[in-house]
Amino acid sequence: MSTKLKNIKLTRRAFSYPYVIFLMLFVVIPLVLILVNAFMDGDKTLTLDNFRIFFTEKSSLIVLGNSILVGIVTTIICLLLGYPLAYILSKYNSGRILVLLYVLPMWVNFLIRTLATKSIFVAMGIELGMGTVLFGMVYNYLPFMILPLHTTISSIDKSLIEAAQDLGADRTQVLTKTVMPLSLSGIISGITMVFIPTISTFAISQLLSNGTIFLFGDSIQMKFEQGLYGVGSIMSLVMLIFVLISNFLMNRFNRGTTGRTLW
Amino acid sequence: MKSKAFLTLAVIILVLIMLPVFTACGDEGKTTNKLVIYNWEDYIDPTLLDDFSEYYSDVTGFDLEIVYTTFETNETMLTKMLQGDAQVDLICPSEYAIEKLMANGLIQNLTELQTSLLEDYNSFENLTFDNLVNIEEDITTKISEEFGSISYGEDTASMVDYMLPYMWGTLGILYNADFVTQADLDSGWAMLWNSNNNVDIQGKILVKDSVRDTYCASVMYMYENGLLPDGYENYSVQELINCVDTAMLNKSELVLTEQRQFISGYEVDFGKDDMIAQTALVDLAWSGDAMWAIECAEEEGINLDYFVPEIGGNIWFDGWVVPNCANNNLAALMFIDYMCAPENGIWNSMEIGYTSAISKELLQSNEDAISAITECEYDVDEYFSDERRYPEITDKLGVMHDFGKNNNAVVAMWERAKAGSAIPMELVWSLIAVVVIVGLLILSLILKEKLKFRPRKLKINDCKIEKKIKSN
Repeated sequence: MSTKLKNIKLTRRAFSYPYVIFLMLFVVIPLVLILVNAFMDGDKTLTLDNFRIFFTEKSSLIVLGNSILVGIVTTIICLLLGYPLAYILSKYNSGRILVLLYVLPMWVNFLIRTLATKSIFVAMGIELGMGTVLFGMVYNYLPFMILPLHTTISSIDKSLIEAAQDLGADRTQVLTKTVMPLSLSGIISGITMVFIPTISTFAISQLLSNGTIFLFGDSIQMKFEQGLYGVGSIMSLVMLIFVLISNFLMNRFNRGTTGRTLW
Repeated sequence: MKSKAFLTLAVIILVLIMLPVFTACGDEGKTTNKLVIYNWEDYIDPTLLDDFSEYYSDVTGFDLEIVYTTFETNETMLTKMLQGDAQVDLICPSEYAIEKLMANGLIQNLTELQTSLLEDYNSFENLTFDNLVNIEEDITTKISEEFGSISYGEDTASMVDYMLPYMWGTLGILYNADFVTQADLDSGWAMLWNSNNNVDIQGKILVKDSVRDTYCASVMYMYENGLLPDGYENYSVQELINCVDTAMLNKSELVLTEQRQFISGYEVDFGKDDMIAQTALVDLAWSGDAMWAIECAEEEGINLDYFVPEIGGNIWFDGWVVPNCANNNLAALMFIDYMCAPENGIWNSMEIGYTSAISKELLQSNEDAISAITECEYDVDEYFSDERRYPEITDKLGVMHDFGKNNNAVVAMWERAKAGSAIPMELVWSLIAVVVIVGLLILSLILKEKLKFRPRKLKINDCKIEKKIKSN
């Protein structure tokens, strides 16, 4: 007994136990529940019906397609807006403070921001629909693109750029041949951090389109609300697969480069 | 030693944290007199809760702590109850949800409960349940007509014995009278499809984001305009709105998809506000919400009105039920009884806009109720003769049952209608794009990996060569 206790020391690791317990309770157990529910029907018997229902139902595939579309468009817009900005900001010493300005809106709850956006659109007489949803998505997730990009671009060794210039590269060549490849890990993590939340959002699309744009997140929410736990769990699993794929990609790209990941 | 102290400390803290959680699960209610109410949001006059606490201590001599929790949809409540997650004493769901609760044997027979409570607590002199009989007879008749006896387990029992109606109303159309024309009104449910091509209301129509209500509206629209599938023409309103055959669902999907071009969207709870702000001009609404909105709009000088189309529609009843798991049956039934007192029924109606299920005659003859109505600046005769508040209960108004096994099919239909099925090409393209992008990324990964390995080998060789050169 006492020897066993001696093994548990108040090391640095001990301080991570509360977090590990938290993780088990609120991340691992719910995931297991989702997995269990995915194979259960309404009467709690084992079945594979939920998969059949999800993959043969036209509506769920349409919704998935819709979400991926919105996700891709949002990500592309975010990248196109975010990259030049992050690049320019990284050139100035005051860039960090300016980045803060872009992060600032994130401190306001996103629901409040979205409701405010909606009010502005309504007041301006703009019809709510796909356009407004995309605006809301880009507005909400742009900081997630700028932050990783800014970190990676500003951590690029300046001497590499100078070397490229010395070797006769012009401005565009410097950008395409040195800066862009070196910031690839930032681009990938930015894309992931925008794309995944976008396809699972439900409040933004619902509020900014008056419910006419129906995305994957909306669909999952509706499934659970209607008590269809099985199909809802399958859809959550599909979401999870997307997350895993992107995590895999992110890790592969980050390995051996700058070693700079979120954690 | 240090680690031992740390461990004990951690255990103590954990126990302290968990203690209230464990004790809360116990049968605390019996000793401390707690009443947990589970009701719709904004569905009661909150001052009555305190009044009831006082009344309860007058009768029983105990203090009462009321915990008031709310749900947004019947489905949320049902899921909680069916999973056995909720520890509540009193629920106020809609009739079809009560049917489902009863069929699962989850609620108590109120008539029997009343008798047993009167026996058990005969020491309380002032304990009566006299108000329970105040309910409008037409309502109980309609409920027993439509639901009759429900079997659960091996027993069957009449549903009216298990519930006590609280509020009732209709599903209809709330509209802005300044923009809607008489022709629109004459078109009935078709107004939600803007069948008169009224430019003013085009794109300013709101539909409920709720399967049951929107399905009901679509069926009534089909009935009204002769769009029903073959073989359903002779169905009554009651039969139609409860029919979820595949033919009906397919047709309804077509109609609802077609509706998308006329409406502004599907509202969850902002419909009333949008109507008052005039950003929406037509809204599929429940009578009580509509009355509430009409009064609010009046103060702002906006002219709203509500009607149930001539052809008929849906009538609904919400009622109190006491679940089997209730800890405080006495307080629960006393609360129901208290809410059935005419003046309290009126106060609730005044607060939330819905029509109380208490008998109209009784309300009209009760002085307290009348003074409450006048206090809220209503004309008493007008209040009771208002068709919007007190519609005639006829066969044109059907009661909706639970969709039962077909519920999944209805939800799937609704999802297709909401997703808008006219975009298969985009779907295909986006999916292809994703596959291509992911494929390219993985390909580039593999290529990069392979390229990485080659130079390393070369380097080693270089080193060897260098060494050889040096040694030479």
